[in-house]
Amino acid sequence: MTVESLSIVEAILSSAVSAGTIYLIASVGECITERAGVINLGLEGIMAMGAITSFLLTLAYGHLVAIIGAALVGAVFGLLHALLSVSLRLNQIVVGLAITWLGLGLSGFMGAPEVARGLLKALNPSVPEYLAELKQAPRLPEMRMEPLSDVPLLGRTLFSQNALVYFGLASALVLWFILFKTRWGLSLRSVGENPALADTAGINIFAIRYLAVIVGSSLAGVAGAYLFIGYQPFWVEDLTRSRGFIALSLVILSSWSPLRAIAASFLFGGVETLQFRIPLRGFGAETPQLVMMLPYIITIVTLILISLASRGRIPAPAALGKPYSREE
Amino acid sequence: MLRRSLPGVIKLSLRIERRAEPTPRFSIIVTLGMLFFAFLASGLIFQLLGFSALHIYRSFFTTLLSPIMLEEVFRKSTPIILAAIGLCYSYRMGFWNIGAEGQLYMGMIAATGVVVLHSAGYGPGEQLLLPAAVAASLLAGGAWGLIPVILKLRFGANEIITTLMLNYAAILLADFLVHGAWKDPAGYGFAQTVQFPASARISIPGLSDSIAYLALAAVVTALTYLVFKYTVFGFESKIIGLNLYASRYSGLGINSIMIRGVFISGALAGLAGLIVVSGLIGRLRPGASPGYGYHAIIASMLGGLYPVAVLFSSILFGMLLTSGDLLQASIQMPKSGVEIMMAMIFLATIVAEFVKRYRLRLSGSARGVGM
Repeated sequence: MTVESLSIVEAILSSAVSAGTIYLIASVGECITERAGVINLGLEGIMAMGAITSFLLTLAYGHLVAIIGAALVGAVFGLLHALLSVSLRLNQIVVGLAITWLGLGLSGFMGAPEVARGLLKALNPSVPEYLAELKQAPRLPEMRMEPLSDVPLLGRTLFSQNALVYFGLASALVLWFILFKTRWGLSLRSVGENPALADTAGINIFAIRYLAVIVGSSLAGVAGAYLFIGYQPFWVEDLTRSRGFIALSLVILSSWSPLRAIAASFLFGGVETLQFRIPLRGFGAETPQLVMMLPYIITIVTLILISLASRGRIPAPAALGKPYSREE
Repeated sequence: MLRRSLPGVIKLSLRIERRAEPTPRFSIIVTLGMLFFAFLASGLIFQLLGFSALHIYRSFFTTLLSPIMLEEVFRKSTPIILAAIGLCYSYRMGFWNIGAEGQLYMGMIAATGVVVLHSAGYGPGEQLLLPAAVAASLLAGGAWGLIPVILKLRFGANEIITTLMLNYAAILLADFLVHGAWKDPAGYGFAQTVQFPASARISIPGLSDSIAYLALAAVVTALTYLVFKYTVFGFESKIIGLNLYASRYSGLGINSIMIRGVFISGALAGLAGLIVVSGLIGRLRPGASPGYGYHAIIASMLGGLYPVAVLFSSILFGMLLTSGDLLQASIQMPKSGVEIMMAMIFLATIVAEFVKRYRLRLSGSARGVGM
């Protein structure tokens, strides 16, 4: 392989990892939530909230506060989800859609220049207000992991990214370990498989489900923050473009394992970057819409392939989507 | 479950108990009460974000006060009503069709396609132009709905995800066409198609346009009421929604009922698309729908899937959209403000379901010391 073609491969892989991290952080969180038996269709809206939070907080106080803020906002939305779906036992699908709605509406509203200006002023009066109208924030800096970043191919792909990419990878590894190698993880999975049995074993179903939804939602908030400050630091309406829902289907693709979510997410990161690479080759340079459809169509195709590969028996947690109550 | 215990004395617990089947009157009162809360809560959010809640409430009600405003409300309500009534067919079968927006776009694309063909000298003549556009929009919307239902029945693919993905595909397809092949050559470079000729526009002699559209939507609503109440199909689709497994064992032809129901659902969203391009805008352009298909989801749920109630909740959404335009012009409130109100209404609808079905009971039991 010539040096030149190697660098093209490096560029493709590294942008796939960069785009894939949006999905990775969100789908790792959703793996946890769904393993406890709750499906969170609010991901999309929570990601949008994470993105707008990171936009305003980055301008006001910098990246670290922005990321923590996005996680907290995600947690608040998760709390709302859990309150409605776990405590009040309402239909998880409807609750999730409502949360997505609220998140998209609220983030769109907060991102509008008139509102963003006021919010920025309230957050930190010393920051010039016009920054909010530029709709941009400084991007997360690249953190080269010397000397690993000098390894050919892998170095640029995995070890010359920003901090949230490493965070995404680390959270996938840590949560996989917790989920499959610890007592906590066993309890959490039992709540998602057979809550009645887990209840008789003395496991606190409600506490675990609350925790799982809140952890998943905080990660969705961080995914939104990454989408903005780590990937595309320019605010547009509908910034998330259904990526939250794509993350939900990636959870199925990775059969509810955070470790496999790494592969699934980076694969989709690759699909996402195709929309920018194909027009460069001449197809759809003027009207890129057909190429932009790719992630959506490939998501549908993926769902079909999963079904064919598993012969209709998709290994979802048995109690997924079912509210738990002792009486019924 | 929420529990609070006072150490040693009394154990207070908040229990959730199932109510008896709620009466229609009770359901309506609860829904209206929750709507009121939704308005209060969204007012609070707006106030926090620097907009006067009172001003917003006032502009909401001014939409009812002048005939011009009211016409605008009806114009905006019609596509929502049609799509929302369509969604009732999907939801009563338990098919989570989030794809009305995409089905609506396919309806717009198909109707526009008929007109584009016509203006290029092919296709139907003047007389048949409107019927052909209507048929095309119904078929295209329905066909777009068939994809997710077939994927679900054949592959178990989650319809929430597939319908959403198809929304983006349809919106991008419309964008592709108006930026490319269907761009009006005399349109000064704007990304839009040719205008619909008068023969491709819906009108009823003696009625203003907005009333004509509303009348059409009302007829569809009435027909749907009859279908749900008096036909075998209406009964079977409800049974499927109540218990899919039981109905499969009892030998109902689930697949055929599902396919028919979702086709109707998509077709009505497609018809809503026809109203948008042939009625409201007169041509296809990017962003032709401000999300009618999404608004319809909430409207159908707020109306509890009862066609007549859905008609009224859709008009409420038409009022919201109209007042949103007013507020954008008067106090520069961003468009998405309306989305926040709709989200709060959605949340309120969900909580109303809870209040209708359960009650909270605070019970105290003496434990431990004294008492």
